[in-house]
Amino acid sequence: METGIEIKNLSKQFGKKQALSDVNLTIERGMFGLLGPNGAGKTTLMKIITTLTKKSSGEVRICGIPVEECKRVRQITGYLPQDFSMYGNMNAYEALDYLAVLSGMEKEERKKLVPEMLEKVNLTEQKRTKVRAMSGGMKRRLGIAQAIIHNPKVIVVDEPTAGLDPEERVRFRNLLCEVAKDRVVILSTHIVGDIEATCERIAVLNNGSIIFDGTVSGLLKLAEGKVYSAEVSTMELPKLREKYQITGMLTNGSLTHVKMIAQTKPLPEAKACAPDVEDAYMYLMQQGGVC
Amino acid sequence: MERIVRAGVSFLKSSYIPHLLFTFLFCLASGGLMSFRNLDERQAAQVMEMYVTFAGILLLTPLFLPEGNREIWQLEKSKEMPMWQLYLPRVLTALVVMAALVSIFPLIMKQGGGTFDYGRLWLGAFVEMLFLGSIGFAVSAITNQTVLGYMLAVIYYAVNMGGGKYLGKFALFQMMKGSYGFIVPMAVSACVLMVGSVLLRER
Amino acid sequence: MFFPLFFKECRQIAKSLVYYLYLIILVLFLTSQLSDGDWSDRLTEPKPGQESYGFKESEDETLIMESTLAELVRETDWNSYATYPFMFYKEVTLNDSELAEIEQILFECTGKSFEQLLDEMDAHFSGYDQSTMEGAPISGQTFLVEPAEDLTFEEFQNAMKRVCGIIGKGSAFEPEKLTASEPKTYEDALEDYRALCEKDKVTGAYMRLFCDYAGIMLVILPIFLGATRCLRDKRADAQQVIYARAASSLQVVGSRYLANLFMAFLPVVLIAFLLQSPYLYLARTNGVAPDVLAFLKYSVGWLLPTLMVTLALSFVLTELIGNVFAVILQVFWSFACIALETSLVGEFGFHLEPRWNTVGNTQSFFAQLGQLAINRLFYLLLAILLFGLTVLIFDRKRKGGVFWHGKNSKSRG
Repeated sequence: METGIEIKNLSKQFGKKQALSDVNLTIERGMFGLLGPNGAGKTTLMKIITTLTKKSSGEVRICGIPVEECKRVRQITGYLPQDFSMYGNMNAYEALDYLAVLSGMEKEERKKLVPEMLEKVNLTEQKRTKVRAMSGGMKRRLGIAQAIIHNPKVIVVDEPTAGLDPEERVRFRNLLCEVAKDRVVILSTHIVGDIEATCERIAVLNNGSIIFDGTVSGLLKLAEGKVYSAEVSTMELPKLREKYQITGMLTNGSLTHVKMIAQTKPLPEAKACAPDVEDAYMYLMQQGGVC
Repeated sequence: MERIVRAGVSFLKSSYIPHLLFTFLFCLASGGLMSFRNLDERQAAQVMEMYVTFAGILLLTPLFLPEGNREIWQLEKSKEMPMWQLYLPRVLTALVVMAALVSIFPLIMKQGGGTFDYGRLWLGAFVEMLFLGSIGFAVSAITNQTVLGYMLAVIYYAVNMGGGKYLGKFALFQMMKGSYGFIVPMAVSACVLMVGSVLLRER
Repeated sequence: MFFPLFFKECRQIAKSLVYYLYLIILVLFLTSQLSDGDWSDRLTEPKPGQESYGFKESEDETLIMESTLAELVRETDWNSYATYPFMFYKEVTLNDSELAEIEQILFECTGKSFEQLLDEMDAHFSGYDQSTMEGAPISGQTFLVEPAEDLTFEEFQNAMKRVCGIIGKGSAFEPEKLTASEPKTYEDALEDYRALCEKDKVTGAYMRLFCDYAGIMLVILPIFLGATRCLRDKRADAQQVIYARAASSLQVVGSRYLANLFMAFLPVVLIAFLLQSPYLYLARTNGVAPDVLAFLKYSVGWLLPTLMVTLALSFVLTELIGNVFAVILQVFWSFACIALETSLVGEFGFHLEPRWNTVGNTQSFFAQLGQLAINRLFYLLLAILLFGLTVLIFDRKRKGGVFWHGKNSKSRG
C-alpha cells in the first residue's frame, strides 16, 4: 500500500506488562481516530509507528516501508507528541526552523515554508515569542506546524487538543482535516468530540487490544436501541447511577434530564434516543469490548 | 511539623538517596587514597581540607534538583506551604550528613595515632565544607541549573588547589598552613549565600 | 543538513550561560597563571662564569645514590613520605618501629647513624640561605649523602626495595624511579639556548608552558559544556520531537559535539595567539626568527586531543546516565587525571594532560617528542571511539531502548 499503514499481529511488551496484544489494523488516507481510555496502549502504538519504540513482534509497514527502516520512515512521518515542547530560549521561528533542519529541509525551502507554516497555524504574530513564554495553545500550534512542515505522508498526533479552549479546539480540528486530504492522519485521543468532528474511521483500543475497528456510523449502530433519555427527580439520580451508565445530564431545578445506557428500557417514562459517538463508546467499554 | 518532615522524606526518596550513596562511596574511597596513620595537625588538616570538604559540593549542590523542571517548581509554589519549609528539611539533612562526616574522619585519624586538636579541626572542616557547598547551592538556586552549581563549586576548589592567592580569608586549605582565621568569615558568607540565594530564587 | 545544524548549535552555545562562564574562567585562569612569570632571562644567551646554569638529569650511579639517600634522610626527618600508590598523591607517615627500620637501612647504606646524618644535613644547610618556599629549601647547593665505600649500586637498589616495602608502593625510592640531577655547565646551557632558538624558535618554548596550564582547565571545564548540551533535550522535554526527526543520530550528535568542540577550542587558540605575541617581539629583539605559528601547532597538537576526549567522555556519560551524576563522575576522573601526574615536566606516558611546567628544556622535549606524539594520537583515537559510542547510545535511545530499570518510563496510553 503506497499511502497507508498496515499493522499485522503487532504486540509490545514492557517487562511483564503487555502494552499491545495482537493488534491488526489497516489505516488508509484521511483522518483516522484512535480512541481508548488511559493506559489502553494508544501512545505505545503511536510510538511504534513513529519508530520511537521497538515492537516486540508483528509487522508494521508505513506506506509500504517496514518500520525497522527508521530513517526512511522518519522521512515520511510527522509526529506531535502528547507533551510537545521545545527549547525554551528559542522563539517560534527558530524552533520551527531548527526542527525543519532536522527533517532534512534545505535553506531555500525552509525560508519559504517556515513563515508559511507559522501563518497556517496562526503564529505569525508570535514568531519572535520564546517557547517558554508561549501559552499551551500556542505550543500546540507550533507542534502541529513542526509535524507537517516537511510534508510527510503520515501524521501522528497524540492528544492534540488536550488543554485547548473550545475555539482553539475547533481551529485545530479544521487544520487537521485540511492536512488529511491527501495523507494519513492518525488522531489519538480520549476526547470523543474530536473524533466525532473529524474522523470517518476509528479504532478503539482497550488493554492493548483493538475492540472496535470500523466507521463512526458502525460504532453508532452498535449502540442503537441501547441509549435512553428520561426526566427524573434529582433525588433519584444516585440510585439511577448505581444501576445504569449515565452519559449525559442536564439539571433544571428539581428535575434532571438524563441520558443513560441500558440493554432494555430502564424506566417507564424513558425514551430510546439516537446515540452519539460518546454514548456508543461508553456502551462498547461497558460491554467489555465484545462487538 | 509533620508536613515539613514528610516533605523532607519525599525529597530523600525521590531525589537525594543516589547523592547520599555517592557521597558514601566517595568517603569509602578515601582509604585507598590517603593515609590515616600517625597524622599531625597539618597532615590531618590536609585530609579534611583536600578530600572531605569536597563532600560539601556533593551534598549541598543538588538540593534544588526536583525544581529543575519549572512546572514542578511552579506547582509547588502554588501550594499553601511556603517554599522555605520545603527546602529546610533538605538543608538540614545535608547538614546532618556533613556533620557526621566531619565527626567520623577525625575519629578514624585519632584511632590511627593522630595528634591534633579534634574540636578545632572539626569546626574548621565543617565551615569549609559548608562554604564550598554553599557556592554550588547558591548558583543552583539562582540559575535553577544544578550543572552550573557543580561547575562553579568545582572550579573554586580547583583554583584553590593551584594556590588561591587572591582569595584571602576565603581561600581553602588554610588549616594546612596552620591558619584558622577563615572560620568566622567563611561561616558568615556561607549563611549569607544560602539564605540570600533562596530569597532571590523565590522572588 | 549537517552544516545548518552545526551553525545553529554554535549560535545556541553562544547564548548559553555555561559557555560564558567557561570563557571567563578560562581567560582569568590563563592570564593569572601566565602573566606573573617573566621568562625573558631564559631567552638570554648564557655567559661564561655565571654562578649557576640550572640543573640536568644525571645517570651517574654514585650521584643517584647520594641524592636518593639525602632525600630519604629528609623525608625520615619529617616522617612524611610522598607516594603515588594509585597514581594519586598519598602522604605516608610511619610509626616508631617502621622508622627504626628505615634508620637501619640508612645505616647499612652509609655506615652512619641517623643522628650523624641529621647533623650533617643541619651543618650543610646552616651554611646557606635558609629561606623556604612551602617547606622546600631553595639554597643553591644540593644536600647529598655519601654512601658507604663498599656499597654497590645493586645492593643500594635492594636496600631501596626494602624501603618501598615499608613505605608502600608509589614512592620515589622505587628502583625504576631512582634519579638525580646535576648542575649544568656553561656548554650545556649554551647548547640548550641554541636549541631554544633554532628548534623552538623561542615561541615554541613558551607555548609549551601555555599548554601546560591550559591543559589543566581543558580537563575540567568542557565537562560542563558537554553535560549541559546533552541534558538540554531532557530539560526542555524535547526528546521525542527530536528523536522522531529524519536526521541521523550521527548528524544530530556530530553537529552538537563539533559545535561544542569548535566553540570551546576557538578561545583557547585566540588566547594562545595573544599570549604568544610578546614573545614574538622578544625573539626578534634577540635576533631570532620566531615560529609565528607555534600557537596553532601547539594548540592543535597538544591541547586539542585533551579537549576532544574530555568533551567526548562528557557526551557519552551524560547520554548514558541521563542526569547530573555524569558530571560528578567525570569531575572525579578529571581530578584523578591531574593527580596522576608524577612529573611536572615530561614523562608523558599515557597521561591525559601532558605536563611541561617550564620554559625551555628544548633538547629534553624533543627527545620525548615521539612519546608525546603517541600519547596525543592515543587520546585522539579514544575521543573518536567515545564519540562513536555516544552516537550508538543516542541512536538506541531514539529507538526506544533504555538503560535504566529495563522499562520505558514514558509509556502511557
